[in-house]
Amino acid sequence: MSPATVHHEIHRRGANAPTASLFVAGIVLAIVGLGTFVALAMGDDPGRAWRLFLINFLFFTGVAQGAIVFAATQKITKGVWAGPIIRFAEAAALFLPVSVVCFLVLFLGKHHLFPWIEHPTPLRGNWLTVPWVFWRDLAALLALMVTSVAFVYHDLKPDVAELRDHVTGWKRALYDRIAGDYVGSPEQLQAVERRINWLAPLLCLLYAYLFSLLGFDLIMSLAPYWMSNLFGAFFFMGAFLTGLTMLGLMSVFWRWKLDMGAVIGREQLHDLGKLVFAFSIFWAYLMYSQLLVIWYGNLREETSFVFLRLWGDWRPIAILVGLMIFLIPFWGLIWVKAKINRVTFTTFLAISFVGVWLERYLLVQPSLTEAGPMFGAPEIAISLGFLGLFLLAYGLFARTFPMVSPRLLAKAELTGHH
Amino acid sequence: MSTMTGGVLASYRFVDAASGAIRTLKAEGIRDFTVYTPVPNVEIAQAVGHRVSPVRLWTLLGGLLGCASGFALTLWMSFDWPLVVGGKPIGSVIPYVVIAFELTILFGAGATILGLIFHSWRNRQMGAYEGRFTDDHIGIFVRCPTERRAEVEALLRAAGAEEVRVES
Repeated sequence: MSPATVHHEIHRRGANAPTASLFVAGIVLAIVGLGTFVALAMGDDPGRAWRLFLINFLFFTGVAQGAIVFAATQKITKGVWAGPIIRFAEAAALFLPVSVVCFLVLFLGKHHLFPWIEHPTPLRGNWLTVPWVFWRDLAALLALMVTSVAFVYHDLKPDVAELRDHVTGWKRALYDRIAGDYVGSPEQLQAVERRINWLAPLLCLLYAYLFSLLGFDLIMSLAPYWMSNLFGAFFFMGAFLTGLTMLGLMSVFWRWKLDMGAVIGREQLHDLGKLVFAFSIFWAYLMYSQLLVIWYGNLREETSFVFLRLWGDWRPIAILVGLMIFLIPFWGLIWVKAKINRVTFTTFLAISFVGVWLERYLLVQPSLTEAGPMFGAPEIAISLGFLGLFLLAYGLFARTFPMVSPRLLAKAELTGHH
Repeated sequence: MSTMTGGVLASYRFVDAASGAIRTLKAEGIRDFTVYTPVPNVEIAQAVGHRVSPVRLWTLLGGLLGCASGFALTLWMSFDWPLVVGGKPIGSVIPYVVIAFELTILFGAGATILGLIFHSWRNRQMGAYEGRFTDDHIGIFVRCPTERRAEVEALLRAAGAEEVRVES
């Protein structure tokens, strides 16, 4: 096949991505997870159900938002190498409305989660009161969702206009509606790029500020007398790392599913592997930066949070988190071959992904329960349920919108990145 | 280590012509050549196809030595003259990580420079050179005996050289 036919085929497949497997997996997992959650929340241990809900809400919101922020960083830095894979990150945008709904549900269980409701903390003034926390976090999530969706919409527009001949039926009508009078003239493309260049930095700034806020409100406030200024950054950089690992796993998945071997080569996997490696180190750096000052200061209200997690029942989990997010990906992804080989690449990324979930678990759980770590059917089922919701939202995006961007693909090939 | 011998020096204006020339040379079985570029270039590096640099082993060993030295220095000094500071243990590993990290970088960087100098010295190759290879031209110097020079010259010219001259 000539290169032109190969590209034509890839464009066609990208506009009609096969999503049945995502839907089936998503629906099964979501039903199992939701059923387990409702049964447990109505049953004898509602606290456990709500804690797991919070952990998974934080984790998967971070995955989706982190991936879109990564796409925004590529627009800011003019990183054309990511052109063939950028849509796999942007496809997480449809999970953001789901995550807003989850946030509303979360507040139904507020009495099981926030200790400052039963035991108000005068030291923090009005900062930790239900209406104030609820409205500001809701506003934060909505602001991030609107900016992210606008960003993804403008990045999609030229591709939708270009690929509308590849689709039929309701998709054709939707594509026509989004494309409007867009025909791909240089002025129109420039206008789209101007909007993207404005939205991408805005999204990154909002992400840093508002995810810090979410980290302070939804994790740090669970131990209301503990504080660490760096915690917000620690939270959102961890979420960014999961966005990257999700993108890496999805790149391998779509490369196989859309048969994109011709345009997603070793370079993309190599670069993604390097980024995951770098942000694993950054995670360790932020963790250690907090540990060092808390250790030096040796103030009781600061050390208790760390002490509870690094000694006693929670110690094995803490060691596992350090291994899974930092040491194993560090030694694994330092090798070029491990980054390029799909099996090792997927393995180390999956370890890091699960590692950050465990880290979120370790941040939330010890603040709220006297019992040590519990890993049983509820933990697995509810987490898989959230994974199911994520896959459903992701699959819906892939079912509706093109997973390949002809213009970004062409740009990447022009610089020899494939 | 090779000493100065004669050969053919060609200069190129374009990266694709130069990398094409390098590929043709290798296809002809000629491997004793030196390439000069004003800036690092991936395409040329790929055409030359160097083996992995041995310098990185120096970096690794230097880094590991630095890390070990950092912990050894701080722990040894603490136990050699024990002073309790702020109620902390005599040998406190958490802050010593900072020293160990810094020495890892320092020793790693130092070892890299030493390795670079050592390997450059061991593999030094003197050949013809021109100042414009640091400006806007790419140079290829091929060491070869007198009888092959005409063949090599024709080959370099065919690949698109701007100028080719024979150095004795």
